[in-house]
Amino acid sequence: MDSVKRDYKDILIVILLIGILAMTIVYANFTRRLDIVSAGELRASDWNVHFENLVKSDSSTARVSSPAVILDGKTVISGLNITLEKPGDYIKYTFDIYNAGKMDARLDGFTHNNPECVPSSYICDNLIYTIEYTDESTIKLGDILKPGQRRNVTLIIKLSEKIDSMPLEKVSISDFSTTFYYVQK
Amino acid sequence: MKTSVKKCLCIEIFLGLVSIINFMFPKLFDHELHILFLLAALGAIFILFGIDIKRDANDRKIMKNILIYLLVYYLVIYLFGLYIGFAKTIYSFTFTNFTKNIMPTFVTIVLMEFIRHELISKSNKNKLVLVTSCILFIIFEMSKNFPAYNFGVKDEIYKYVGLIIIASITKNIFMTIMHSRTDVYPAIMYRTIVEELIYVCVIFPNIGPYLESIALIILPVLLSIMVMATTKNQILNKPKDKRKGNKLYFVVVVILLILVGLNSGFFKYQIMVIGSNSMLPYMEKGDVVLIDKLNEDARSSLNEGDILAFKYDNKVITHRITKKVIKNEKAYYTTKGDNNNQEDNTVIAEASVVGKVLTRFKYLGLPSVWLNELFN
Repeated sequence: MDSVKRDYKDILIVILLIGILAMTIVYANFTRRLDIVSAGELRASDWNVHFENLVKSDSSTARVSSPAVILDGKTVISGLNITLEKPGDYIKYTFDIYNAGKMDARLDGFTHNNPECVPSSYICDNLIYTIEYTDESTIKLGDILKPGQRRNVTLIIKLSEKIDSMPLEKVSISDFSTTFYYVQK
Repeated sequence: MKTSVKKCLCIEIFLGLVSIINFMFPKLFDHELHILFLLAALGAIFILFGIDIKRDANDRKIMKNILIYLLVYYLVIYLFGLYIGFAKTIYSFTFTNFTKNIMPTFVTIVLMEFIRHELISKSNKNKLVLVTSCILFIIFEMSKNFPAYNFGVKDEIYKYVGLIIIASITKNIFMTIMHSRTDVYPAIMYRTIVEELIYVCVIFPNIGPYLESIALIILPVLLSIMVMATTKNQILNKPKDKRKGNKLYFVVVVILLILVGLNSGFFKYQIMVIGSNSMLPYMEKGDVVLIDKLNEDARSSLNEGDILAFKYDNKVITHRITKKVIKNEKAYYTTKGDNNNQEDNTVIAEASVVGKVLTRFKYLGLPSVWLNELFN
């Protein structure tokens, strides 16, 4: 009886391992179709890349209803609510990306969401969104952030001076986001 | 008190003090220095007692059972990942990084479990040593993970409590039970699989910290029951009326599963606690609302007067729809809190819609509100 139980457990382990191996192969083939979020919550005690020192430039001409803030957890900057009243109006922020962990971090993904403008979508066509390092070098994949290192980034949202006409009613601009994905180097 | 018990307690006091000092001076465990302290403790055990690991007859049986439980667990959560999505690991798979990531954790696991095993066996499973060793390793793990969390941030406190403190309590109770019934290898195997997988897998189901902490609590509890049954050393007394007891457990488990499912946000219906009085008199702070989460096709089907749950500024807000605009076959909603003087100054696009509030339950969420205010 004992040897029957042992055999059944051995077979069960083999079946489960084959099942997991099969899933791994299937997932590897369909990686692009899976809904994958980089980094997620997989952080151990030696990983800590976050935002710091968010500062609005005094030269900004946009009217600010609520300023951008770094949220709890320091990996999201949000809350910005501004009004761009005339062509050329802009808001400018600078912030640090800081590696407070113990591992080298490599920029593995850098995605930018296209905003939605309601009701006048042509406003979004005339919105200039610039995000680059403050020393004017381009943010590119593979950029390394060593432990203790910080890179200062400048963000500018501007209504183009070349816009043909201003809308008669208020236009809401939403879904404006940029995401940095860092991984171990 | 026997001399062997006193010696075990001395070693525990040493490790306990080191852990407490690390709370005050978090750099003590930097660069994996905690391994040195564990080596010192193991060295002390070797000098005082010698080290004597015997293979236990239950070893293989328990290791097979643990492996089966873990394989089933990972199979289930990876299948669940098809529904909720995956998170990509931040860890690199170059040989150097792979070794750097895996080795310190593995060495820590081996040292901790050998120390635990020797303390328990050399004290002849003395109850005081069993309890104090369990507490010691809970404090050790809390201390080791302490520097990684920012306690000025509420979310980080919740994660530390759920993912570190409570998970460590159940894990270490399980480890203590296992060491008192078998030898060191099943414990090392369990911890190696669970704690090193993060460095080996490319993707993980993105279950989030809430479900992750629930899983880290439940898995060791189930395995503890399995180990106790396998070694036929029941600690718990069976209830006198077994049928009534089983029915009660079943009902409690079902209720807990429903609550966890509703709270997780991964299913069609979700519960949320109201954090402000902007929707008085219909909803007030401390009420719990049941939200029908809408898929992409259904998000344009809401009407004026419906209470919309939407994402804004990294929060979920529940306000009433006052206007709906259809543009390019997409709906845009203007919302207002019933208790606010003016409409919200953001138009809600479909992408920000979470769902529609179906009903509310008065006051059920007050403990969550109090906890939130305590940390604020």
